[in-house]
Amino acid sequence: MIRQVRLISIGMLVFICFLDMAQANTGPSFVERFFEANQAYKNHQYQQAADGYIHLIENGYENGPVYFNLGNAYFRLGDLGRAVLSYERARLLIPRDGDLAFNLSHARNQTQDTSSDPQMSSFSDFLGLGSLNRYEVFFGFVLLNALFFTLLCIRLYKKTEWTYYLSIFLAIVIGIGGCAWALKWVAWAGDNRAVVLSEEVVVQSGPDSRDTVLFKLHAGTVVRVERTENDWTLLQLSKDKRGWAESNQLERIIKRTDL
Amino acid sequence: MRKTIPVILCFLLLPLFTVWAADDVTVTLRLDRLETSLSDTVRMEIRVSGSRKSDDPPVLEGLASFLVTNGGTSSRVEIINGKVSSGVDYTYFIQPKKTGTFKIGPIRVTVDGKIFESESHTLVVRKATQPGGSDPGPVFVQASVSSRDIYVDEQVLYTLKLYYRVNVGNLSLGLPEMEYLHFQQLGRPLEYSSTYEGLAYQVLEIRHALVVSKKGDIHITPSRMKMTVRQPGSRSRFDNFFNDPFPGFSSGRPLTLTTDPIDLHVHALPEDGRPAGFTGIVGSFQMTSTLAPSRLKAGDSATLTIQVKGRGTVNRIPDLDLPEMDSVRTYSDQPVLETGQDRQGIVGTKTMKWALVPEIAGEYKVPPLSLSFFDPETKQYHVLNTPPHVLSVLPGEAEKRIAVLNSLPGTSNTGEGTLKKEIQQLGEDILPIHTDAVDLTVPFRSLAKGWVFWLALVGPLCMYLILLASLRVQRLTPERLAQSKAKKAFSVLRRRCKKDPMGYADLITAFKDYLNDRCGLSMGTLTADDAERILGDQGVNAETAKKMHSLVEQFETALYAGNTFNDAEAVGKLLDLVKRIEKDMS
Repeated sequence: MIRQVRLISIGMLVFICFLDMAQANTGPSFVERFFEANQAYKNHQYQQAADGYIHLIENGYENGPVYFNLGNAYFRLGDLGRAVLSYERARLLIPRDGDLAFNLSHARNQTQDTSSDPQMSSFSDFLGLGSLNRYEVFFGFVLLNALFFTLLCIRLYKKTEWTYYLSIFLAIVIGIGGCAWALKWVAWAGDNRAVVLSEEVVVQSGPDSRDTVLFKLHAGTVVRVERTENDWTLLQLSKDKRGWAESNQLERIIKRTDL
Repeated sequence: MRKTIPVILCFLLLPLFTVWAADDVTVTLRLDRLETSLSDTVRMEIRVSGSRKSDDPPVLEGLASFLVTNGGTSSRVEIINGKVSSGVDYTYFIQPKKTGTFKIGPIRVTVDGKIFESESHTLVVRKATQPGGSDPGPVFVQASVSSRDIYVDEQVLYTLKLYYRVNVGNLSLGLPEMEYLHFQQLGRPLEYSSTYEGLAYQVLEIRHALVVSKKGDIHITPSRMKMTVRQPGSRSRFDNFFNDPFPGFSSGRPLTLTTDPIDLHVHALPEDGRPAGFTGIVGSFQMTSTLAPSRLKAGDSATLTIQVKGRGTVNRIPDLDLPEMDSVRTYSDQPVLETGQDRQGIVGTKTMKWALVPEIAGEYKVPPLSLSFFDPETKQYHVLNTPPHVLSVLPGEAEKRIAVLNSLPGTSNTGEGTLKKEIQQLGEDILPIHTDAVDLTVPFRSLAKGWVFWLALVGPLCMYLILLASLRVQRLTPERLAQSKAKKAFSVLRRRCKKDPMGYADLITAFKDYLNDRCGLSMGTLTADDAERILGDQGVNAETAKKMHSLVEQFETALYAGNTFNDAEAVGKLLDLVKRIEKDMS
């Protein structure tokens, strides 16, 4: 029976890895398109490169390097807003990438507005998880979960002292890991940041073009979106800087379709 | 009694006489001497008779050349030869400022709006008796300086000595006040006995440090010393009592003494040999310096301490500047100046400290620091220099890492002692795109999507539950149940035996059930022979089987023929034997 349990456990891990490998096997067309876009970038055909990266993203090949490269292409095109947006999206997937941190910082320095950068919830940094993306955190939780229940299965047949203490330890760790994953997930789902895309966005006191102009924002500035009404978005920069702007002039970092 | 009554009446009527006497007001001026010297004080008494008060204080004339000190006011009532008179006396002490013949008075006193005048007196003032030939007097004061030929800002001693042979008190000192003279008293006054011109005196010595900040011939005006002199008189104790009934409260005679003026010749500081950076310090100074530790690791701190101490214008000791040192950061501490005084003048010490933090290993020479001053004794400028200090710096932890990196192939060795520089930003741009296709996967993303997400999340739990359920099902088969029963047979028996009360029939039944469970049997009744046979078949020791046979027989006998041993004993015997059976069967 123990052999059966072992086989099931190994099978599950192989299954997980297989799924990952299946996802890694992206096919020659994806790689070809990726290299084509890269080549266009190197040839200073930035618009062509950007189109190539966008094509990949729209076809489901959404990953950190593609967003990073897209950000670079936009930056070269002088589209600071979309560059920051792409870098921010890449950061959600490859948060530990040093090049990305450098380029994002550089792009932010180019923005005209000196507003403070609205970060994701501080809970996302719980246990230093800010350097992990949500998939990695979830995998950690799943692994711990699998180990815990595998251990419980072993204990059904052989109750030893070490499995008892190990199961208690794993139960505690899995509790902490579960909290971390939940917080990471909540922070991601509640991330309402958006990036100003237009060169200049007029922020008004109401969702009407005749309302009073409060202030102006410029491309690349990251704001928080409170709600959307028709084609208008209520955004907030700080406690005393909030107002309405046309929705087509900014874009959320987290696409609503991802949620 | 007849004589006493008029005396009492006289005292009672005294105010009436006083009023009557006021009509005859006279003012009398009295001087205790008509010839005096500059160092003496003359007692001047103004007696107003016929009135015990005046409208205003007396107006004194002819006293422009005198120092006047008020000696107090007293009222009096006199009965002389039966005649009663009253009055008020004003006492002044006058001290001449210069020699000559002076007319003192008249003194005008206003009583009830009327002005009354006194007579005048002539007072001759002569020079004070010079010490050297004749008696200098019972009290005199002298001033002296340690040198009359000095330099600007040189410190000299200005000494005042009060000689006295009488009781003096209430001393106060007035020093010359000139803007270029700076006095500072040195310690408390000294009191000692001395002999002057063959006469014994008590001496009060007060020392001052004097600094003159102006060149040329300087005339120091006299210092003044005010005091109260109490000179014992020759009158009898009886007289003293009536003149001064409260001797302890006597104010004595005020006296003001002046010193002779002093002339100084003050030289300017010489231009020849004046060092560059001379800051005007005059006196005698020494400079010491220490560096501790002189051997340390890069990044650690050493302390350079410089002390300048000496006598003179210590307040002008400058804060020295330590020059910049290559690869050594310097942090200066707040300089501390401590001043003091002794009998010879003002002394002081200035302590300056620097923290030296070398950045890289090597030998560093601490640049010498210098201080120049003018010494009036040698009449020369002197320059003090700190001794050369060498700071030996060993590689620090941070520098060791750099040294290791420098020694790696492909890195340039900058050499020991090379200065590190701030990295200069020459341009700004983004870093290039990612080109490696291996990095294109998002690890574990497939786990977090669709049915895989739920499988990964609840799969292990489901697996556990399935295994748990299958185990439960397995336990319900007859073989597993029989095994389970056999395993639990002894504990079931033991539990039943604990029931109270337990009859012999119950014991036989319990043992029968035990055998059924333990051996997988289904006996309805149990005899002693059955028990021995079954146990023998199950591999139980023959002796144990026989004992059990015997015990079952006893139970049967007891059940049908009468009780032969108590219940507890029977239960104990049964359980003991079953325990042996368990051991044999296991």
